[in-house]
Formats: sequence, C-alpha cells, structure tokens
Amino acid sequence: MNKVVTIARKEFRDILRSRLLLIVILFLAIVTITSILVSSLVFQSQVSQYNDSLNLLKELGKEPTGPTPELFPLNLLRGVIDYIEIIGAVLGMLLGYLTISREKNTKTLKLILTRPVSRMEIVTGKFLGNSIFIALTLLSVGLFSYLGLIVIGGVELSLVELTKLGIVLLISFAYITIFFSLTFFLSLSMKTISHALMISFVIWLLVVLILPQIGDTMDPDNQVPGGFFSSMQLTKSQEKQVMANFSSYETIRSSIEEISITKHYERASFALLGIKPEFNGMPLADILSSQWVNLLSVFGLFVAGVCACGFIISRRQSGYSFDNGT
Amino acid sequence: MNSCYVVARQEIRATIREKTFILLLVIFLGMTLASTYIGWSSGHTIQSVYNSTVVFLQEQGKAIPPPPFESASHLSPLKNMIIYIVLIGTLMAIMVGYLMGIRDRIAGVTRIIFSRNITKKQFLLGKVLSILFMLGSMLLIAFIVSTVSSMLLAPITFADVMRIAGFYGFSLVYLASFSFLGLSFALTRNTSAIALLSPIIIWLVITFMLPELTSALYPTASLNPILPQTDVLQSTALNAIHTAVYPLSISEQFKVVAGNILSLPYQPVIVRNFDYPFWLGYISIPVWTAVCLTVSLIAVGKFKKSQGELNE
Repeated sequence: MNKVVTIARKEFRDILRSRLLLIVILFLAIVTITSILVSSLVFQSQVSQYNDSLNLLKELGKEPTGPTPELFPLNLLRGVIDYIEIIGAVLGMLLGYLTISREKNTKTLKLILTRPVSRMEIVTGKFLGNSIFIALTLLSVGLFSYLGLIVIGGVELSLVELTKLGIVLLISFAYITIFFSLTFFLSLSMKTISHALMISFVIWLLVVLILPQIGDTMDPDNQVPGGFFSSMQLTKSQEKQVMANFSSYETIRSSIEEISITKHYERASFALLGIKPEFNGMPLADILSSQWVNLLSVFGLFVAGVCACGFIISRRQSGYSFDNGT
Repeated sequence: MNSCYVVARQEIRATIREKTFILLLVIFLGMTLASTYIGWSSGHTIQSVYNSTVVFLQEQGKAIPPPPFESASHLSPLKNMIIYIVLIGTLMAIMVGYLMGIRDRIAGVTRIIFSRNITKKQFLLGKVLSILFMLGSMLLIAFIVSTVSSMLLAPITFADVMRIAGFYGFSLVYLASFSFLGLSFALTRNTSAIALLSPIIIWLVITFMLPELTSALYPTASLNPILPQTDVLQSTALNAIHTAVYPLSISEQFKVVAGNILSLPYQPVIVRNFDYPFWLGYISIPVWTAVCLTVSLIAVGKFKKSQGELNE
C-alpha cells in the first residue's frame, strides 16, 4: 500500500510541476467566473425588464399576468457545466496522456520496474495521483462557483443547494475520469503515444461535440429562434400532445444523443442544478431517482474505464507498451 | 523556389499517410454528407410538426400563428455545415498545421533539412503551400459532396452552386488561420502536448468563450445553427461587453458571413441599440488569418535550426 501512495505522491508532484495543467486550470477558473458573470447579468436584465413592464402595466391600471422572474442560484452554473463537458474532458485526456508519456520519454519506468513494485501497484498509484488532482481541480471549480455566486450573483446557497452542487461535482469527477481512462488505455495500447492523444481528441470531438449537436439540431423546438413551441404559444403539455405524433422521430433523435456520455452527464447535472425548470423545488431524492439512467451511465462507464485500465496493465503484452514507443 | 515545392510535396505526402488525419477527414466528409440530410430531415419534420400544431389549435378553437420559418432558403439544409466547419473543420486545420510543424522535430531531421540549400522563408512557404493544398482539397471534396447532396434533395440553381462555392472558399480563409496557429505552436513549443494544446485553447476561447461574452450564448447553445434569442436588451453591461469584444469574436462573425453567403435568413441573437454590420466578418476574418500567418512568420524566424528537435 505504501508503494501505491509513494507513486501517487510522485505523480501528483509531477502534475503540479507541469505548466500545461496550470494553463488548463487557469482557463477553467476564467471560464467559470465569466460564465457566472454573464448568467448574472442576463438574470439582472430579465428582472429589470420585468420591473419596467410591471410599472407600465400599473400606469395603465392593469394587473400583471406573467410569472415573476425567480432566481434559482444554481441555474447560474449552466455555463460552468458546459465548460466541464468540453474542457474537463480535455483535462482528463491530457492527464491520461502525460502520465504515460512522461514515463516513456524519460525511460524511468524501466527503472521503477527493477524495484519490487508490481505493474498493478504502478497503475493504481498513477490512477490515485491523477484522481486526487482531478478531485482538487473540481473542488477549485466548486469554490470558484460558490464565491462567484456570492460575489457576482449576490446570492447565498442553502444546505440543499450545496449538497446538489457537491453531487454535481462528484458526477463531474466520474465524467472527467472516463476521459482520463480512455487516453490512459489508448496510450498503453498504442505503439505511438502521440497517436493515442490524437485518437482521444477524435473520440472527444464525436462524443462531446458532434453527437449532442446532431441531437440538438434535430430537435423541432430548436428550428426557430426562441423555440418553435413558444412561437406557436403552446404550453408544455400541449407540446407533448403534438409531439406524440412524432414518437419515432423523437426516439431516433434521443437515441443519437444517448450514445454520447456527455449528454447523460449534462442531463443529470442540469436536473440537479434545476436548469430544467421542472426540477426546481423537487426533493433531492426524487431528482436522483428520476435521473438513475443518466447516473448509471456515467458511473457505469467510469467503472468500466477503471477496469479497462486495470485489464490492459495486467496483460503480459502491456510490458511492451510500457517499455517501448515514442 | 524549388526548395519550397520539395518541402510542400513532402508535407503533403506525409500528412496523407497520417492515420489520424485520414480519420478526421473521413469524419469531416461523413458529416458533410450527413449535414445536408440532417438539415433536410429536420426542415421536413418541422413542417409536419407545424401542420400537426395547426390541426391541434383548430380543434381547440385557437388562432393560428403564421409558420415561423417561411423565410427559409432552399440552401437551409446546409446550415449545419457552418457549425461543422467551426467544430470539425477547425480542429482538423489545427491538426494539419500541428503535424506539419511537429513532424520534422519529432523525427529529428530539422538539422538535416537546414543543412541543405533552403532558407527559413522557403521552409515556411513550403509548409504554407502544403497547408493550403490540404485544406483546399478537403474543402473541394466537401463542396462537391454538398452540391450533389443538395441537388438530390432540392432543385438548386447555378447561383446557389456559386453560393456554396463561395461558402467553402471563405471557409478556407477561416480554416487556414487555425492551421497557421497549429504550425506556429508546433515550431516554437518545447513539448508536443503544449504545442497541440495551445492552439486548441485559442480555438476554445474563439468558439465558446467569446460568443458567451458577446451574445450571452451558453457554450453548447452556440453549436446550434439556429441560435436561441437571449433578451438582454436592457443590460448596459452586456451591451458594453458586446461592443468591446465582438470584433474579436471570429467564430460568430464567420457564422454570420457564412449565413450571408448561403443566403440564410439573418437572425440577430440580441437586438441592440448599436450593432456591428454583418459584413464586418468579410474584413476581420481575412485580417485574422493574415495575423496568424504573421505569427507563423515570426515563429519560423525564431526557430533555432540547430536546436529544433524535440527531446521529450
């Protein structure tokens, strides 16, 4: 166990020394603050417009009919989730690539293997070191978000909201680790390690950007700026009645989206943060039970990724991957 | 002059042999083909959804709003292609530039190359020519695919074909800028990972962060060819940010110009008191590409012939 901890500690120190990761974390911090700032300004603008309309109606001697804009603080984190989807995945891939490339390039792994350390201990140590780093990065994002909500948004989070934020960070951890495992696995499996990074980027492009984009583009509601059903003045239940005639189309569209793990991550996070309005005010247990498929997908793939890395390292041929390649 | 052709020929051959490049090319061309169908299919479906909505509203005895998509052009099915250029095309362009800059350094042959009768300018010119050839060929194939698939789905005129050609021509200018960035970082950075990550971070800023600042668009929302309307008319702060940042928001300007070339209806995300003209992108994008080319020129100027190899 001590050997695993030693390797994890060394791995963690190596990551901290890398300028590359400093750049990514700094970038994540900037986009988190930017996103909260923009969301807060948009909300303030909505409130201001509502108040103007209210005053106008009062002057005309009429009563307001529309709903009052209500701030759900966690809604302001929508952009942050979008960035974790995109940049968090890149961070995971870079960690997976660097942890192997460092050893291959400096030939230090051969040296480590001369010591009484098993391959499984090396992999476990590396996984642990990187996992701690991912967890700390996400905690920093959580802290930036929390401070951003207080300082920029001018709102306080309740205990339930903090719990929801904590669960979202936990799901984010599993999501980023999936991409770490992918590149880790490919870096060990492929002869040319730089190809592993590029293949990972291709998979990232497909899973994170293209598949969700196709699903969004096919959504009939997205065909008109501001939403088709809003332009037709239909309520949510009326929209459902109309779309019942297009169930096959919707099944295909939804299936395309569900191939992407990013969409599962997004759905679960959006539900917990109340970005989908129907989840605002819903008890936490109910939200979690309604999202069990998305949660199972994210955590299932996380476990599969960890197992795949354990499998590749336990194969005898993996010695080839460790000792060779550029 | 011959030396730069030798460099260009070698780069083109080597890039074509790269499996990753081929994989990205297949995805790009696959999405080019799919984009027309997806655009046509979603357009067809929304018409059917509208018809169903009309029947539903008639049954309820309610007034029937006019179809909100009447102004759609018959090149509308290609609207997804604008997004694929911004997403896949740019990443592929970065990859092309990166590979052309890093390959010699990883192989450790830069000293050998410069021991021959070749100047740094010829070296760069060869790389630039090969980048333009690779991107041009890729976009030419995409143009053929888009034109043929559009012809199969709807009657298009010669003017429409010219519009599609114009769109891909302008895309070449946009994509070349990202290749030049990829090339510059690949020539100057000390590690291959930083060389690849740096232009990708710039791409992330241009594609997601700046549109969020200028138009309050969530990162994933900017992937939709039909933009949501974010009503921030009364926000002085957001309008000020928009005024300051929009000229730098290259991807947004590309989308506007590309939509204009394809004759798609213009959909301003936000209605403001002051807005930049739609044609700004016609000027700023070539200027941006020229800036990126200048960065490449500086990168080659700083490139140390004797210490160019990567020792990772």
